Amino acid sequence: MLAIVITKVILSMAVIFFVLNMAAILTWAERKQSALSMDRVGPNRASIGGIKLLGLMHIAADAIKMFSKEDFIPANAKTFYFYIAPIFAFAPVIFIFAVIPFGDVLIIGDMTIKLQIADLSFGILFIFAISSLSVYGVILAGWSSGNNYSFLGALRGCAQMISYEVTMGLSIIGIVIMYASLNLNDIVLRQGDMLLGFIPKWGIVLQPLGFILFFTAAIAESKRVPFDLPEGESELVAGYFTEYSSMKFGMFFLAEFAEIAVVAALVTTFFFGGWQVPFLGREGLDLPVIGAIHLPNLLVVLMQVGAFIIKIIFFCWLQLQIRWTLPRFRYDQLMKLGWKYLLPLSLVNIMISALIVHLVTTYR
Amino acid sequence: MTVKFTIDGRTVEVPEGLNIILAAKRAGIDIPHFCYHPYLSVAGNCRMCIVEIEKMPKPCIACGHIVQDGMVVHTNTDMVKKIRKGIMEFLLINHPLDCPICDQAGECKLQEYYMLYDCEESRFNEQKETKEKVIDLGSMIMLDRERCIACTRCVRFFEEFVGDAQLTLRHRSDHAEITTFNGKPLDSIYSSNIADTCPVGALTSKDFRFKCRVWFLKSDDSVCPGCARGCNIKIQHNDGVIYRIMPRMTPDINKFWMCDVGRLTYKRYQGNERLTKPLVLRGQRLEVTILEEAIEELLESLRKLAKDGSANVAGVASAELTSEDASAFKSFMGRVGADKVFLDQGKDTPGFEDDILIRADRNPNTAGLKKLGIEQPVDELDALISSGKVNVLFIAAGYRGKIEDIIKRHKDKLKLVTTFAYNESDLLEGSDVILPTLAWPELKGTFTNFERVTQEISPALAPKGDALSIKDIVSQLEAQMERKAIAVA
Amino acid sequence: MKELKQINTKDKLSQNHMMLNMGPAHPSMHGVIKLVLELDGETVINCDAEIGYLHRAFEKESERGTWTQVFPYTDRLNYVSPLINNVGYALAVEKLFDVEVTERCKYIRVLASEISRVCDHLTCVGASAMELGAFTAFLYMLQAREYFYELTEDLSGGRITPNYVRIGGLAHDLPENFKEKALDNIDKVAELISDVDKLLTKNRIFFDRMRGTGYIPKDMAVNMGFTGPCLRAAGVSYDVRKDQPYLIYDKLDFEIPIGVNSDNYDRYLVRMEEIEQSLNIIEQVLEKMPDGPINIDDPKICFPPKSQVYGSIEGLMHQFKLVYEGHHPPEGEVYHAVEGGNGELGFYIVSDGTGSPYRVRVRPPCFFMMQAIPRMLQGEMIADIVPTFGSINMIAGELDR
Repeated sequence: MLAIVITKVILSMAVIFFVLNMAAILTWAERKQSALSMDRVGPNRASIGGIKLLGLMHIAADAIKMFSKEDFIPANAKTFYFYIAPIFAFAPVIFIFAVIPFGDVLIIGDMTIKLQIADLSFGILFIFAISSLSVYGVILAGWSSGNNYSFLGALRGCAQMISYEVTMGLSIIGIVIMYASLNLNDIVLRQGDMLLGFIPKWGIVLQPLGFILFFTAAIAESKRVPFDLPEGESELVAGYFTEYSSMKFGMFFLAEFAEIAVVAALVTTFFFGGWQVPFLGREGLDLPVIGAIHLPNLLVVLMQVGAFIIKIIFFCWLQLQIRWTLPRFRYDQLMKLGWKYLLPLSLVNIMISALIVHLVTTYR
Repeated sequence: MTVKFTIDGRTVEVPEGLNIILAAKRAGIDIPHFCYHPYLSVAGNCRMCIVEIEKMPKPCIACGHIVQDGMVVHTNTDMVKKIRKGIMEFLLINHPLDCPICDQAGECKLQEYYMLYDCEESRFNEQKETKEKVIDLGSMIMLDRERCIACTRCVRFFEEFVGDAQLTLRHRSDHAEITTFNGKPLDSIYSSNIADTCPVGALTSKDFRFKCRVWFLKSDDSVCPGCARGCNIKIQHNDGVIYRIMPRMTPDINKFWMCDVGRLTYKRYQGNERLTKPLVLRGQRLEVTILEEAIEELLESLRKLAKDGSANVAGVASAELTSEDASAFKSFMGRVGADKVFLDQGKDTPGFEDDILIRADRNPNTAGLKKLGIEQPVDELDALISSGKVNVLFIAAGYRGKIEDIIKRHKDKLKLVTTFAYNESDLLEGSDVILPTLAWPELKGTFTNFERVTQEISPALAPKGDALSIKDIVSQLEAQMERKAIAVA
Repeated sequence: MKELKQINTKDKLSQNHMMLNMGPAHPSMHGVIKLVLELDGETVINCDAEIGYLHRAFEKESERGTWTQVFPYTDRLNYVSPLINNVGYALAVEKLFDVEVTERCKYIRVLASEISRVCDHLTCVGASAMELGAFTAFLYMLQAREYFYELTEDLSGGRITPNYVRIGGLAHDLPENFKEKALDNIDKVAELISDVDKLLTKNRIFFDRMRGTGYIPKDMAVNMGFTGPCLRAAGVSYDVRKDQPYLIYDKLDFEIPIGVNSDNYDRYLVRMEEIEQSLNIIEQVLEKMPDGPINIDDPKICFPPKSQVYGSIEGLMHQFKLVYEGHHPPEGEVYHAVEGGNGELGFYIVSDGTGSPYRVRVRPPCFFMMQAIPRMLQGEMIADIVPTFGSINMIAGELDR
């Protein structure tokens, strides 16, 4: 029992460490990425003892800045809610990582450790339950700031998150139907199978439409361009966190970047095989022509975790690239897209998936 | 008697005896000239004023020809233009490239005429003649021989106006230069006039040198406060600072000139010693206050004294006041029961005097005050105070008044001294209430000179601090008295 | 033809509407301007534009200095296309003098104007894109503008405040190798513009955001005094370069693009096409550029060359007089208009014969378009304020003067 607690604690620490660092690095990556796509240099000035590391020191500089700036609270703000809003924005993002599997099982001696903090049988429900909480962060922040811009931002954010949550939920039902589970680890494990012997049975193969719907809705959930209306700086200055400064702003900032990582992790988990590497089983490689190659468990786990992280990084990059390519929607267009296109499509997706699964199971 | 003549196709009727330059001016035509000056004799050495006169074989200088009936003058023919260009080119051959460091730039006739009548490029490839540049000519004037165009206006000024030929032209042609005998400094009090008359930057005023570029100066007409002559002047100032005083042409009073004493009077009005806030004696110290409060305290003290029945009031007015201020002051003195207002002509009077311009009376408005009935000299006050017949004084002070000494002598015998002053002086020590007033450059009013000519002065500068004119202060005092129904007498 | 959106303003004073002060310190209110908005949710019920935050008394200030000293101030009118302002003011003063500049000077002035026009359009389109969230397109446009700023810098020594044109000529001639560099930079700019074209023109989100928003009917646009790209987008073919040709515009081959729908998208398209046309004009001008003097031969108007100023008393006096006393144009009043980046940029000048202008009045093109802003925004959504306001291309320096 004690061993389990200790391993879970260590695992949790590792995941939090990973997420926070990921978020921090993403702040840098976003700037570097935008600089690359805009043909400029990007951050390169911050140096600690002459070390610049391609501008990576900006992360440290930003952190110092965030902590040392004046924590200003506007006179009209409702102080208590103003304080708790950043927590509501930030905490759910971290929680979601609790159910995401980072790898298969790690065997140390006679102990088998699942590389997942909480292997919940209702994992997907947990994700939706938790992620819905972050809307409180937005609405509390906007309302408690006592600023019209914040208020408008909060209204937009609230409406947008609730609308797209529907699509997000429905688009994932296809996956649930296909893999017949709400447990994320099960879903990932089932994506290890092969179709026709050589195509990995990943979500993207079985649910291409589901992937597009989910990814779109997920970006909308994380309020990034082209769905960044709640904070569109040319309209609402900075939206619901206009009045925030110092580390309270830093929490929103971190939450936003952690959300990128969350979306990438969810997309990877549902549609890109999670930690699965094609042809890599628990015992080693199982190639179609060459045959089985036995590999030590530690190496397998490392490969799986590595693959998972690489996939996450890829989807983070993809989100950044979208961010720097597209303009922003208008509020009515956003609603139209959500309710008139994405929602019907996700319903269609469910029906088609159900039909296929029904046909396959009936006439196998 | 008038004569009719034709200039550039226009027939004009002018008084007899004018030369062509002056006559053309009446017709609205400017004929360029360097050496000619309306109040100096004709020299005819610059040749710039050349015009064509019909039936004359050659072009003539306009300054040297008196208009005659039926004369036909052309100032704009090709030949005249060509001659002007030629003259300008000759004058500029040896002229140094000094405009950026020359005080005359901006009011320089060379620059003006170059733009109007020349505008050609230089054809001179040889070495320019160089001469001595910074030559000290006494306390007021600096000479630069390179810039000189040898028009001899300055020489003629000393010969004809001052009557003391201190300057002369020596050597010839390119080497001609202005000099004093043996390099002796100029010692006339009219020497600054040659800086004004010099058409170029050869003679510059030491006082004005490198202080301000002339195109920044704003000019306001006024009358010199230096003596009883009342020369007409221009106050030239910028951003609230007076930079120089220039004479203004008035045929009857000062013609074109003024003295160096008058030129420097402006300095007494813009030192650090100007008063800007009312002061009231509280205990042993003079404290800064506001006008309303100072008036309040003054009237309170007056009322107390009047109750005792021990108030013997007298007024002293400086001859520097404008007639308007003096009149207001006098009527106020009447209200507070002073039967006499004494005239203070200041410590500088009598000064030296000559029969050219400067007068021994160094006040601009003695005649004006006398006309108002303020004529008893302030010296008589001495005896009155020591005998106790006067113990309350109102002083409308000027610059260095004689009253300063009287106050110093009888400090303990005076119960209440109120001073209207624009400068700090010894008066401050003996006064109980000091009210800041406007000084000459800020005032509007009239001065009457010793010839009984009354002339207007107009404000050039904005008031300093809380200062008001005596007239305004007095009217406030009177209003307050009325409100409180204080009767002193 | 679409109708202007009608808003029921009966319950104008209803407590349910939100008042929102957009600006003067707001990221998308370029320069400083304030829009007072009455909002019903996301919909704009009423809008009031408050201008004047950047009033620097340009017109009054012009009366203080000499005629030449106005040039640096004109740089600061529409600071995105300063050279056109320079040219416009110079042409007005020359009209007063009744002189005509040399042939080469005319070509260089046209070149300068078109360089500025491209800069102006690039900034406008780029900024609109940025405000819609497409930051990359903005920076592409700025990169392109940078190439043209380089040319401006080569011409005049300054990037934003060139102060290049003089009465009767120019401050100096083209630098060496200017033609090669210009042609090279034009190619680079054309490439960047085609990139942006790909990024934006057929981008569904961009299209949806721009099409149909900021609509103004043609007759209203004419009545309100619209000029420039905004008027042409409404379908009126009016361009000062074609209709009252100045300099050498009548000798050049270029076309005036006009729009149909009078909305933000058409304004965007018109500006994109005008950039192409301007690039074309620059190429033509560079091709045909004649040799010769750049200043007219009149010492009363043109400054002497510096060699004379420092080398001879004549030159020095000449310079001195023109600098501190200024030119002396004949008495009278003139109006001269040029096609600025935003439309008809007019200078109405009154001279009393002295060395400084008696009155300089500017007809800033965007001032007239600003008065239509409330009408264009009524019934639109908050998010439409930004592209509409952007497509007007209000430049506060010129609007408030």
